[in-house]
Order: sequence, then structure tokens, then C-alpha cells
Amino acid sequence: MSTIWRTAARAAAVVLAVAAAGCFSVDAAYSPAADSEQVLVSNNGWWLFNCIPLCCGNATPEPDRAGPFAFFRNDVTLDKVQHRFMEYAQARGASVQDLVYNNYDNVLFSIPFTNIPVPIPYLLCYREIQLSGVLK
Amino acid sequence: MKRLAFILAAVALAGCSSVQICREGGHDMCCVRTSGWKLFNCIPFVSGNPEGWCCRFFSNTVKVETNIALLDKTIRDGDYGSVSNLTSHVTEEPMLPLLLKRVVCHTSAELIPREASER
Repeated sequence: MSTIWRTAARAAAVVLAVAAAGCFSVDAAYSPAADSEQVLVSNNGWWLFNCIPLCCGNATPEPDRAGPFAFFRNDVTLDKVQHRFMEYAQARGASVQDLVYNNYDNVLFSIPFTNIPVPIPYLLCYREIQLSGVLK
Repeated sequence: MKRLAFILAAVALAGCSSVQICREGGHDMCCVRTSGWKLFNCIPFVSGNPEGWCCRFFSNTVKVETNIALLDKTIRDGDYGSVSNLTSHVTEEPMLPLLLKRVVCHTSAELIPREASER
């Protein structure tokens, strides 16, 4: 019986780790009416004591990308996110307009799947960078 | 021991202000961020000092005015003539509901070089 509980606890830990892991994404949608494409590049990740990167989305371009996550490396930077945006724009042969950053950072770790923060700041921190723009 | 605990707590709760510029792909983007902590939802406890390092106590610098002043300084110090796509947003993070919360003000803008803005 204890083996079943141990296995269940390990599975729950893996699910929590994956749920809390960072994610890099490039979202794009073309509007025929506006004859333009809206692009949103975002990346997020987790830091220990607000200075040690634990896990974040892997912002490495596709042929060299080893997996969706980057461990102990900071890919949640303006340079990496904007570089991927410009790379996408270059591949589409379009000019870039209306670039806007929306950044978020949380210093309180909320218990996953709840909105309850652990009241110890800077223990486990979350950072997110979103860059949106229009390609014409 | 109590003094050490107080110093550690003060450091942990410190606010900060930062300006980051990214020059990837021929677009100079500037992100300004100021953070701080508020007591009882209204009393500024500690917030980032826009004029230097460390922080300010019982003074509210987490507002758009501070971010725009930092952006102005960046424009003046760099070779920029104007900005475009200027946006700001504020995020709040309650640590102890009603007692203590963290507030962050973010501002994003594209910096236009002086030559391009004079054209």
C-alpha cells in the first residue's frame, strides 16, 4: 500500500513540476481586414531567491532547440524574446510596427492550482516577458 | 538576533527601480519597472529609489510619473528624439491580504533615434 502512495506522490510531484515549469511561445494571427499580422512572443520561468534561474521556456531557435524547457539558464530576457520576434518577422519578410512589452514578475509563490500565496517573499519567484507587435 | 532578522526582512521587502533597453533587430525598446510594498492597501512602506540604488521608506515612487521621469532621463542620456507605443500597467501581489501587498509599475516604449524623429 505504501508503494502505491509513494508512486502517487512522485507522479504528483512530476505533474506539479511540469505545471510550474516555464514556457516559450510564438502566437500569430493574420487579419485579412487589417492586412496585418499580430504576433505575440512570450517566455516565462521560475527563479530561486530572485537570482538563480531554475526553469524557464527554451528560447533557442528550432533546429538547435533541445526541448521545451531550459534549466539553470535565463531565457526570460528582453534580448532573447525580441531576437525571436525579429527572426519571425524576417522569415515572413514583413516590417515591424507597434512593439509593446508586457512584463510580469511575482515574488510570492502561489500553491499550484490555488490562488494562495506562501507568505515568504523572494523564495520562489516567477517572471514573464510578453512582446507583441504588428507585421505589415 | 532580532536586529539581524529586521535587516533581513527589510532587505527582502526592499523595492527597486530599473531601466532596461533592448536593441535587437533595429528597434530600441525600453522597459522601466518600479516596485514597492504597501501596508494596509494604502500606506507606502518601502519603494524603489529612482535616483540611485537601494530604496525609499514611506514614500510612494511606484507610479507612472516615476517611470516616465526615468524614461525621460533615458531619452536625454541616449541619442533619442522621441518615443512611440508608450504603455504602462500596474500589477499587485497581496502577501498578507489587507496587511501587506507588493505593487509593480511597468512602462514599455519604443525609443526613436534623434535622426529618425527629425525626419
